[in-house]
Amino acid sequence: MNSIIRAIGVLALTWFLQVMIFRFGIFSNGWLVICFHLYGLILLPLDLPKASYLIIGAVTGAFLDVVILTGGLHMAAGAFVGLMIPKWNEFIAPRDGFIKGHSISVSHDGWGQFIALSSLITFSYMFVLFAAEGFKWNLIPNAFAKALCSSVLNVILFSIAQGLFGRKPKTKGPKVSAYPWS
Amino acid sequence: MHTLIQLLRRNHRMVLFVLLEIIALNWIASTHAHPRGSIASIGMKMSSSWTGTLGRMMYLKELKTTNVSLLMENARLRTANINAQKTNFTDTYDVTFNQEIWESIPAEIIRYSSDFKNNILVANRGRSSGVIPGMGMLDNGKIAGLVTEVTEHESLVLPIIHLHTEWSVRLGNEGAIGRMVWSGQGTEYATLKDIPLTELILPGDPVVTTGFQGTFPSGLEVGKVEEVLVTQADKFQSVTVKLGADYKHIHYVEFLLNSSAGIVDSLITMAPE
Repeated sequence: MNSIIRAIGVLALTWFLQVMIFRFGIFSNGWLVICFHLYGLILLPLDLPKASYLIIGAVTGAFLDVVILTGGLHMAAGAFVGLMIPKWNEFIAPRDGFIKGHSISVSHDGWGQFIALSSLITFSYMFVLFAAEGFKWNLIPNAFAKALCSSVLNVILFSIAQGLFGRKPKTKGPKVSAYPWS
Repeated sequence: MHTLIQLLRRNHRMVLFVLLEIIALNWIASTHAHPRGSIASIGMKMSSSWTGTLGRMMYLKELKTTNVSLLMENARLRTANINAQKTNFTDTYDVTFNQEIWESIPAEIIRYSSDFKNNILVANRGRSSGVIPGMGMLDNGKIAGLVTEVTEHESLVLPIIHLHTEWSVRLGNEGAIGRMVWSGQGTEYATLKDIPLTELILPGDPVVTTGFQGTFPSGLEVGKVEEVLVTQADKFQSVTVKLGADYKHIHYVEFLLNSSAGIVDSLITMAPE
């Protein structure tokens, strides 16, 4: 329960930062778009009911659409990514699965798994965002390329955020030394 | 029925996904292709109240260097200056183009996107200021957009840089008429289509409004010819137009309303079938 509240708090914070700051992060004629709220979606606990990812993704996107006037683009992308998150979680899960209430973190799962999950989630989101924005079949390759470029930028950003603010590994064993004089 | 419920229950996640996507795509269709209807209005109201709050904070910062009313007046004077040869002022708010009286309403852009395929602008003047759907919008005297939706204090404008808009324009004052569309590549250029091969076009030639749509007076500057594209397979040539409106720095604009549009419209309705 505690991990869910923490994850929702992180999602709300990333959403707020997206609205206040990162909404202006559109570069190279729209080829590089920052969607920092995805970091909140990536950090959701990995064992939530599958339908809840859908609702969380869609609602987060819908709120963003209302505030930054993107008219349903983020909702469509959020719903799609909500459908895909359980699949991506299964894809990166170790053989014996994750422990209950676990969120992805570099300190616990390593950079490889964090970047893999971030890339999959970010690319799915960005692809649907750009495809829905173009709304034409012939713009799909364009959407694919734009999603690829934006995903790289976002994953770098998420990695920096994870490196700076991610959960630090817990120190093992008691701090009290068996040799207090040493 | 029981089987159907069981089937829905088994695939509830997919059903929910389809439902959410339908809502989202419907929202996209109603706000991106032709932003009309209640969803667009609600979104615009909520967005404008949000951006209004942000805007007030920015406004306080800007106060030190900028006087808003002076800038608005500047926009109007620049427009008048550019169109000085054809323009006679009757008073501060009415402008005469080609013997037609056009009402000019200055406004400020409070929300805009110029990096998407279907860009939109939101201005801080709405129904209470006399803005109505169908009015044209000028940026620095050059055509910039068309009002499609209004609330009490805001208006939604489709700029030239929107994939689903077409504009009737003319090459120079006596040249061929064509339709101008935006290809989605950069905010500075649009493409003029359906120009006959016989038409001699040179880079730098002016592109002006025809006035046929009733949104703008004829002869208003749209932009200048940048490049002429001719393919042997086609009987027409395409022209790349460098737009006069600067969407990267758009801020103060003015809306135009043709005071005699009602008379023209009544003539059109009287025409035999």
